[in-house]
Amino acid sequence: MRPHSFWRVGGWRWLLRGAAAAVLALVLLPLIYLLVRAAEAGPAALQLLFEARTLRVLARSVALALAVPLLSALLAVPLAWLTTRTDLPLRRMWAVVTALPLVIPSYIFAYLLVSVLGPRGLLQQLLQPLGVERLPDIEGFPGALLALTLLCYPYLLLTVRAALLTVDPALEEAGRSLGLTPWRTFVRITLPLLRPAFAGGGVLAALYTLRDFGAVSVMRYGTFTRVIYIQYQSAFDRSGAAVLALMLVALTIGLQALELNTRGRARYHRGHAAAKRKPMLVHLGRWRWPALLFCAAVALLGVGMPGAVLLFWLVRGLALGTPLPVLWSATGNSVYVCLVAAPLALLGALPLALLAGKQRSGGGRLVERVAYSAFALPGIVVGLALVFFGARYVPAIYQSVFLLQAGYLILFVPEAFGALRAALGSVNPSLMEAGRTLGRAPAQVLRSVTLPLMRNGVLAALAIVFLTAMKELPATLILAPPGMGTLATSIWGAVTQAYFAAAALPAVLLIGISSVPLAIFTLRETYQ
Amino acid sequence: MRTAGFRKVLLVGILAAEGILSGCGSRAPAGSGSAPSALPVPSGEVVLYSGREESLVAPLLLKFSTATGIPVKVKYGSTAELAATLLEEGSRSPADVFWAQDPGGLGAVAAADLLAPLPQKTLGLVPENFRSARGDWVGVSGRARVVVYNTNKVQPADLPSDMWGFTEPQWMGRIGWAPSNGSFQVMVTAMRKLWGEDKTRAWLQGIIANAAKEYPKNTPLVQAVASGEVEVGFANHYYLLQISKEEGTVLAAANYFLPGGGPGSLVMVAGVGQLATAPNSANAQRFIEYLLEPDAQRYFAQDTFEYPLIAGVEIAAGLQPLASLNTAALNVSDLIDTRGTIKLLKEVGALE
Amino acid sequence: MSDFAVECRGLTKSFDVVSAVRNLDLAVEQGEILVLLGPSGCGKTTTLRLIAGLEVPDAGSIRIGDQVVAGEGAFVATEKRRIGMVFQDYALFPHLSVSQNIAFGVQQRSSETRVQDGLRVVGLCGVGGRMPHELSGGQQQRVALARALAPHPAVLLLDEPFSNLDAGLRLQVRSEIRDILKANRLTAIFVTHDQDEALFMGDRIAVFNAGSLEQVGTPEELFFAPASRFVAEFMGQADFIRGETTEHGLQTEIGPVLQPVTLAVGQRVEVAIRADDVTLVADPQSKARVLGRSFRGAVNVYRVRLPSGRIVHSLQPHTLKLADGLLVRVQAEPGHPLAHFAI
Repeated sequence: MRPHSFWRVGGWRWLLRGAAAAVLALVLLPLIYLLVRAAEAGPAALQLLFEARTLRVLARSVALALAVPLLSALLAVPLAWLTTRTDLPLRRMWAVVTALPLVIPSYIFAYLLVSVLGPRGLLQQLLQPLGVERLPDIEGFPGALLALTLLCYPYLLLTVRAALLTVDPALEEAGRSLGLTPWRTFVRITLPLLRPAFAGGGVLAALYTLRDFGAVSVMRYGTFTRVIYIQYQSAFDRSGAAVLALMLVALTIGLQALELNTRGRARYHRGHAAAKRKPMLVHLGRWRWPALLFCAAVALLGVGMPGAVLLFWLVRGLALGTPLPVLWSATGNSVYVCLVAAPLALLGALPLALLAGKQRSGGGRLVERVAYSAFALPGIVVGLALVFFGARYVPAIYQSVFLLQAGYLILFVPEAFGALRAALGSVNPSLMEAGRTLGRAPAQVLRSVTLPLMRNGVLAALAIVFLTAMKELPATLILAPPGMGTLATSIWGAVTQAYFAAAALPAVLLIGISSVPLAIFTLRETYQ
Repeated sequence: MRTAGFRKVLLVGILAAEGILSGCGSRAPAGSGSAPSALPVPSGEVVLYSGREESLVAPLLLKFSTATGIPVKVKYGSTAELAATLLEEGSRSPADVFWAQDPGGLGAVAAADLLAPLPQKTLGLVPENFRSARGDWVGVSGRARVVVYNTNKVQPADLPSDMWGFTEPQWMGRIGWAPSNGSFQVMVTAMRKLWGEDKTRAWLQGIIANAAKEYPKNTPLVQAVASGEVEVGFANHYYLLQISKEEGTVLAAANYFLPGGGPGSLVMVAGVGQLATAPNSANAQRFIEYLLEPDAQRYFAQDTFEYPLIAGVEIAAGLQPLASLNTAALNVSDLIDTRGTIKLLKEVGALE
Repeated sequence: MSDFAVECRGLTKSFDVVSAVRNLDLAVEQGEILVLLGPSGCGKTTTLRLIAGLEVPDAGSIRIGDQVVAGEGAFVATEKRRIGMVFQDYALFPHLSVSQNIAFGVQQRSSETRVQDGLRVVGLCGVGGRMPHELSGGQQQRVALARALAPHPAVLLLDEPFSNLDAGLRLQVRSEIRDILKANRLTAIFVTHDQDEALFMGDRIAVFNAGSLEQVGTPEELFFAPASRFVAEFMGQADFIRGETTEHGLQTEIGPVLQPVTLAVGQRVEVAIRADDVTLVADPQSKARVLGRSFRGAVNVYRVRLPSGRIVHSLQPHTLKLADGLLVRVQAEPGHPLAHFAI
C-alpha cells in the first residue's frame, strides 16, 4: 500500500542522487563516445543500419541472447534445487564445483571446447578405436550456444540458489497442505517464487552473451560483438563499429523490457525474523544416481574438461622443457586490480540499487536500464571510449591504473547492481525505518542495518565482480598502463600464437585464484 | 561522522595501493620499479605498443633492456586494437613505438600522420620492398604465406603451383582457411594488387564454392590440417614449426611454398614505427635500431621461426631461404588497403 | 508557543493521485496517550509516518515540542526528531542480540545501564543475550518497546503494535504497556483499527475517516456522544433506529426517550442505541421477536428484530432466559442522552 520511500526522504536523498548521477554519468561515457563516432559516419551509418547483413547479425544476437539464458535455466534450476533442497551426496562440493565455470575466460574455454569436441578433436581421438572417423562440426550457433551456456549458467545457478535459500518453507508447506504433490508444489509455488531470480540471473546471462567476444569468435558465430570487432580490424573503421555498437545498446534496452515484465508486481521479501526456518530436505533415494550423474556431467564439461586440457598442456610443456614465463607481476597485478575493482563497483552500484530498489517509477526504470546497458557493451568499446575521454580531458590519469579502474567500474557496476538490488529487495524496509527512529542518520542505518542484512548479496557482488574482472580482456588490453600485464593478457597472447604451455600456466593460476572467493561465497551461503 | 571517516580511509587505501603497485607490472627488468604510472615520463625508458604477442617478443625486449639499460614498458594488444587506441589518442599518446603484426595497422596510423620519419640509415638496413615508401615505418621480420598440407593425405606433387589452382573442383571439401585473420587479409590485398578486383573475387568465390572450412585463427587451422580434419590450409609458415615444438611431436603436416609466384607466395612483414609525439624519441630510435641489429634478427630467425630481414643472418632449419622463394613483387605500402579487402570479403560472404 | 507535545496543522499528503491525509489538525498534550483510530486506508498510519519523518508532507506543518519539524520551510530528519517508534512487525534487527537492539539508539556511554533499565521496565531481565528469533511474539513486542524507549524519546509512536499477537496475549501486553507508558508519564501516539483497544489505551481518541478527522475526544465522549454516524458506528455495538425529535426528547420505534435536543422539533433522525441501553420484557402482544442469544459469561446479548425489520441488541444478566422466537417488548432505558443524527 504505502510506497517504500525510505531512501528518498530528507536531505540525504540529494547526496544519494548526486552519487548515483556521478556513476550514471561515468556509465554513460561509452554511449556518448559511440554517438560522437557514429555521427562521423553520417548517412553511411543509416545505410549500414538497414543492410541485410546487419539485420542477420541482429537476428543471430537475439537468438543467442535468448537461447543461452533458457538453456542455462535448464541446467541451473535442477542444480540449484539438488544442492539446496535434497540429500544429494557431497552437496556442498557440487555447489562449489558447478559454479566454477564462471571463472574461466570465454576465449580459452571456447578454444578448449573446440579442441576437445571438434570434428577431429580429443574426443574423436579417444573414439578412433571404435571407428569414429569424424565428429559433427560444433561451430556456429550450436557451439556458441554450448560454450556460452556452460559459461553463463552459473549466473542463474547463483541467483536461483540464493532465492531457494530464502523462500519461506511455510509457503511450500501450505502447497502440500492444499493437496499438491511435491513436484506440483515445486512447479506451482516454488518456481513462481523464483521469478525475480530467473529474471536477475537471466538478464546477466543474456547481457554477458551479447558482450562476449571470445566464444563467438572461436565458434565463428557472427553476433554484434564479433562484427564490431571485425569492423575495427577492417581498416580501423571506428564509425561503422560505433553504429553497430549503438544497435547493440538498443537491443540491450529492449531485452531488459522483457526482464522487467517477468518480474511482475508481486513483492517478495519475507515477513520478519521469526519466520526463518530450514525446509525439510527431499530424500532422493534411488534418484540420487541419476542426480549425481547429472551433476558430474555438467561439472565434467564445464570444469573437468578445460581443467584437464590445461593441465595436460602445462605438464607436456614442462616435460619438453619449454621455458615458462615467471608470472609474479602478472598475478600480482591481476589480484590487485580486481581487489580494488570489486569494492569500487560495489560502491558505485550501491546508490543506484538504493534508488532503484523498490521504485517502479519512470526514473527508477531509467536508472536500471542505463546501468545495465553498459554491461552488454564489448570491452573494446568501453576501452576506446575511455581512451577518447581520458587522453583528451584527464591526461593526468590517462594510461594509469585509475583509468583502468574507471573502465572496470563501467563494465562491472551492472553486475554488482543486480546482486545488490536483489539483496536489498529481501530486506524488510521497516527495519531501516526503525534505525532512523532510533536516531541514526541514513548513512549510519545503511552501515549498521542494511548492509549487514544484505551481507550475502554484498559478498555475492564482490565475488562475481572480482572473478569477472579477473578474466576481462579487451578493456584491460587497451586501458592497462604500458608495462602492466595481467593473467588474462598473458593467456590471450600465448594461446593465439600456439604457445600452449605458456598459456596454460596463467590460465591455471587465474582459475585457481578466482575459485577462492567463489568457493568461499558458495560455502557461506546457507540458511542463517 | 564515522561514515565519512570510513570512506576516507578506504579512498586513501586505494590511492596508496595504486601508487605502490603501478610500477610493478613492468616486464622490463631494470629501474622501472618506482616509475609512476602517469605520463609523460621523461626518464630513460621506452613505451611500446606491441601488436605482437607477449610470448613472441618479451624475451627479445629483455635482451634489449639488458644490452642498453633502457627499460621497456609494453602495452600488448591486437594490432587492430592498438591502432584504434593510437587513433583515439592522437597527439596525446604516451607511446614511443608502435610494433605491428602487419602493414595494415601501421598504414592506418601512418595515414593519420601519427608516425615520425625514420632516419635513412635505419631504413637502409632492409630491402626496399619491406619498408614504407614514405619512410615512416620499417619491417623487422618476415613471414611467408604457405599452404600447410596433411602429409598422409596429400603429396606435394599434387599441389598446384599457385593459389588459383585451389579453385579446381578436385579440392572440394579439402580446404581450410581463416578469412578473419589479418595475414590472410594481407594476402587478399596482395591478390587485388596483382590480379585485380575481378580475379580476386572469382578466386574467393571459387574457394567458397569448394566448401572451404572456416577457422577462427591460424593455430586451429594448422592443427586441423595436422589432424586430418582438412587436407590443406592457407596459413603463415611459422605456425607449424611452433606447434610442433610446443607439442613435442612431428606433426603429419608440412609447409608448401607455392613455387609459381603471385600472391600466394607473399612474404609479409611485421614492422615498427616511431610516434611523432614520442616522449622518449631518442630511446625509440635506439629501440628500432636494435630490432634491426644481428642479435635481434637472429632471435626472430631462431626463436619465432620468422625470416630475418637484414643480410647475413641464418634462418631456422627447415625453412627455405628468402632468396629462393619466388616472392611476389610488391612493396609493403601496397598492402595497407585492408578496408577494401574487408569490403570484398564481406561482399562474397567470406566475412560477416 | 504551544504547550502541546505534538501539533499538526493543515497536514496534507497524497500518494500519486490518492489522497491519504487531507488538511489535518491534531494536537497531543504532554504525557497524553492519543489513539489514532479508523478503518484501514483511512490515513492514520500515514499521519504517524508523517510525524515520524518517514514521509514528507505535501502541505501543512508538524511541531514536536518547541521545534517545527516539517512545514514552514523546515524538514527535520527522522533521526533528529527525538521520537521512538514501535512497528507493527516489531522490526527487531535480526542480526543483533536483544541487548544490541535496545542499545541501538543509545549513546555508547550510557548504553549498559539503559539496556538493563529497558529490560527491567518490560520485565525481560535475563534475555539480553538472545537473538530476536529466539523470543516469543509477546517478548519481541516488549523488546521493541524497550528499544524505542531506551533513547528517552520526547514522544513514542506505536503503529498497530499488537496486531501480530494472539487475543489473550494482546489483552495482557496492552495493559502492561499502558502501565509502562503511564508510569513513565510518556507522550504517545498509538495507531489501531480496533476500537476496543482504542478505548482501553487512549486518554483521547482521534477517529479518522478517508483521510480526515471525524472527531477527537475522550473515550467517554466518543462512546456516548459520537459526533457523526460514522463515529457511532465505528465505536462499535451501536444499532440504529428511526425516530423524530420532540419538545422533550426523542420519539422512537421503541418508545420515547427524555433528553435535551438541539435539533428543531419534528426532525427525522437516526438514533444510536447500544445493547446496554435496551431492556427486554416478554410480551405476547409485542411485534418484536428474539432472534438469538450469544453467551458472554456473566451476561447474555440478545438479538431482537423490531417490527420495522431493524435489528437491535440487548444486554441482559445471565439469570434472564429468553427463548429464541419469543415475542418481547423492547424499551430504551439509557440513563444518558442518546446520540442521534438528522437524516
